[in-house]
Amino acid sequence: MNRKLTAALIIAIAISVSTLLVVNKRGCSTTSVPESYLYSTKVYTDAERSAPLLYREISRIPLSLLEPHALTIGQNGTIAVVGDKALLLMDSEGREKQRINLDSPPTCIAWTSTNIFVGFNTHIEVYNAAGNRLQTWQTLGENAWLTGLAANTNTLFAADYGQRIVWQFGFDGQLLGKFNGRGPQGSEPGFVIPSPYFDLAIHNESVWITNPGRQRLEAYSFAGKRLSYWGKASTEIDGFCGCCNPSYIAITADGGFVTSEKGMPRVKRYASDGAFLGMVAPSDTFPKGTVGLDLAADNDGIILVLDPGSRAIRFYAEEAL
Amino acid sequence: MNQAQQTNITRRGWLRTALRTIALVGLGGVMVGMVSRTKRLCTKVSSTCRGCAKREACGFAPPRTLWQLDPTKCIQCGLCATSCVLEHSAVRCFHTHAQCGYCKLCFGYFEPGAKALSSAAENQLCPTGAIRRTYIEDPYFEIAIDKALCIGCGKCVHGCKMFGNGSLYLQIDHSICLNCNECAIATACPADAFSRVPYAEAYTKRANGSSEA
Repeated sequence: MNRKLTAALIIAIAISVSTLLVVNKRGCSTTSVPESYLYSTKVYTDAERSAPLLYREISRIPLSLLEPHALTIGQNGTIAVVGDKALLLMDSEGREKQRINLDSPPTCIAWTSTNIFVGFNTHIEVYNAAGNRLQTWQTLGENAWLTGLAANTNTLFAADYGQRIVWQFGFDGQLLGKFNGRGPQGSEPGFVIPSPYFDLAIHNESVWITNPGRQRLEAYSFAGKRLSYWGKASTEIDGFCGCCNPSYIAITADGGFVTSEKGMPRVKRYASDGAFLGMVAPSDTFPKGTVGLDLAADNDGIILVLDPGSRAIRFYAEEAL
Repeated sequence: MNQAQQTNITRRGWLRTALRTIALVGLGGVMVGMVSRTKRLCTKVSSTCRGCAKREACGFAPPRTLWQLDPTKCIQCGLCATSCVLEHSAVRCFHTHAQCGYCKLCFGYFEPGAKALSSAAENQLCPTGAIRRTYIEDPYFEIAIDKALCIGCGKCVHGCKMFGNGSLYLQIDHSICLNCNECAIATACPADAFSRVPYAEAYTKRANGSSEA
């Protein structure tokens, strides 16, 4: 009798110990997470589905860069991309014609009829179409962090996230001016830029600048006077959500806008007055966590999206085309 | 009678009983040890102490390493809030004010699709209301974490990382953590974000420090 009792006791203890070990290893039943602890993006994806999809992806060019940062279109549809420590020059078909090694990681680029301007954190370098470095401009200060460049026929504008200002240069590197968007009396908050996404584009006689902390785009004269703005903070598809959107912009030949966002990585199309038209690329078409969708639009209405997540340039054409 | 009973106890019988008793006590000890290990409850400071929240007061040397989570690996799955052996998890949200954008539309604070940018409960993302929002000047607002209310679910961290600049992040609060030999959250973490770090590097280094409410 005693032996049986002892054996039963030992077996019971063994089972208890084993159970404890298994439960311990699996982290017990406390591993289930209540729904209220989880972040849901459903409200954004639902809003996207309700919007018209105006464009379709027509082609994609893979890039030989690990971290592509910015792209631009040159003359005759040629394309330039910067990333890693390199400047890639490609023909209109996307074939890599030249790879120019750079001394430090570039952050932004602009291409005029004569020069290629490559922005780095604190300075700008000028290259010709053959890829030869022509000039290295003076540093803009240790707090500078250039994130966007745009040029017209004789002036280069540089968006400086680090100092929340826009620089204005002649093509010889001479500083022509700078403005911070605060207005003459300092009555406006200026450029509110929580993260390094600060872009600009030139159209006619104005430079359009993102103000991502205020979820809008602002137009300034070349003298730095604010002319107009549009955009609103909203989780609806016609507005911009997040504290740092829109992250990049491009202006189409008809004066309309293309915007890209982070958080929900997506590309949208707006009319010249800021009215929302539809989607170019919804968020589910990009790898999860993609940020930094730089944009360009050519004269034929094709929209180029730099997709760092896929390390590729993606081309979008209007559905009707 | 007593004398008769004493004489009935044989040497073999006494040895058998003694062995059984020792075996049972040993197994019982193992079981108690497992239970205490599973619950991760510190009993008493001893010479084998690996450190706990009271280690500075007890006079024993601090542990060589501590558990900490890597914010760059963290996926904000919510398990930090539910897997810790403590009823109120030792993981908390930390906030680097110098990095914060002071956003009016803060995605670490507001529920997606919030009807208004106000502090009304239905607009707040945090399930425990642990984030305090203070107006600074248009359009800037400051947020701060109430550590007593924060449960370390990481919901705000997800919103900030996704839409903002990542000034909110999760860390193990070593004033609370028991520094268990086998961390239950580390075991449950699907991102393998937990590891032991040197005592001198107990918290993730952020350029300009961090602060809480």
